Amino acid sequence: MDRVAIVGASAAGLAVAATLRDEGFAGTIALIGEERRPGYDRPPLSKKLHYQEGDFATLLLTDPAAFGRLDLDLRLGQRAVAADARRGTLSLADGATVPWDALVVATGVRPAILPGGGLTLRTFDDAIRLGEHLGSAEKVVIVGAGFLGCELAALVAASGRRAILVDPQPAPMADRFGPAVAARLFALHAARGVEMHFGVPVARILAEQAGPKDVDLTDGRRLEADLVVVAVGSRPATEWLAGSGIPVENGVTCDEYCRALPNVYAAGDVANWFNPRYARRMRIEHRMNATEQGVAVAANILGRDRAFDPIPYFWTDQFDQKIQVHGLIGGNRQVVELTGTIGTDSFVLAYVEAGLIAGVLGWNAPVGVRKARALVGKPPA
Amino acid sequence: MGKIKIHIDQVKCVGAGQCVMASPQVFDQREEDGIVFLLMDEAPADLVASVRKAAKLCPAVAITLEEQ
Repeated sequence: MDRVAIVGASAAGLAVAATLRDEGFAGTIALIGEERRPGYDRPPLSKKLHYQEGDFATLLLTDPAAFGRLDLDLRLGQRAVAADARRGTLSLADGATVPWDALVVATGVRPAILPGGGLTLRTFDDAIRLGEHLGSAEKVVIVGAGFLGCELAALVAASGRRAILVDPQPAPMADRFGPAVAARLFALHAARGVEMHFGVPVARILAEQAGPKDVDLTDGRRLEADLVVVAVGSRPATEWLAGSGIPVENGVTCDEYCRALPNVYAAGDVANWFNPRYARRMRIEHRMNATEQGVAVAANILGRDRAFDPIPYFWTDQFDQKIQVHGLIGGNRQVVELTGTIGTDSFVLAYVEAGLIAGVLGWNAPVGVRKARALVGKPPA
Repeated sequence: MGKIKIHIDQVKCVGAGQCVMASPQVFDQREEDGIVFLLMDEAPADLVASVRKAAKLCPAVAITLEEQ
């Protein structure tokens, strides 16, 4: 095992590279990234508006000196266009071939787009573009009330603009949090002035026309906007793996060691792996998972055979409220209030499935929810 | 392995508490907003491994380490 190639130079890919070096790996590490920029932190992109070029350095995942010490064969601004698992090679857009003994797919996701246009937000360049378009906008329609859509709606409303949030779900993030917390989130956004249209799919977007943009709903209403943002989820970036011999279905399908083939691994948003803790497949698009899974993949490349069985963690900041989750929540799981009540400004909930706590949620309760994490996997008191 | 000096960027910190779980003798969180503070500025040799783990896991890249 002398040559590791990592496709994807963001949080997951960098975690693999850094961990390999920390563990004493002395071979070649090729790190291939589609963006020209060195790896940066993405969650902050939806935590403030008006990013400018000068902000980039604050988002770097690795400071330049530490990055240099990783001694990488670094190929930034290079897209991998094909892989061959049988021969152990990668093909890059510039025609180069990169041979590998172990391959890590860490290509993440791309934002889903809708016919008719609308800005999306995934990269730092997207954030700069969004800031430029927001400059003169008074009225912003945000299609999709997931993490990104809700965080953006909060920022837009807090900036004094009209924020209009649209989603076919009954309430913001209902698929994530279940009805009770989604209703609480709806109340928060309503109180802070976000206009919301829930339970109605979008019929048509006209965001590419000059002047006012339109978003038509399926019930016949028309929403007018200066700017349309589309935040309707994302797709694993796996199209380049067609014909590679690497199994793909809603991401790269891996076993509990994050292994898709004997020498092929996946980490981060793109990995659809079997989490033995919950005995089910998962593909997690959260920041914490990118690092944790990258660390696990590096260990497994080095022969540690460490099953990756995290209690998933995510958070979202909306207005001045912080929601943090450990484990699995939402769906039909029964909600139990551990501390406070859902109507108040600070509470901790447990989500119970088959008699055991599958996950815990803290609303403005960072210390409380961290302590409650120990209850995951146990029956409620 | 020598001591290690620890810095927290409280502006970047998102209050995840991963560092507190990795190294509870070194890191703690403010009750009101979860922002992390240090219980010691320098980690002795026996805590260095846990501090390195905390820095690596931090989902906000808010922990930097300075070898002594």
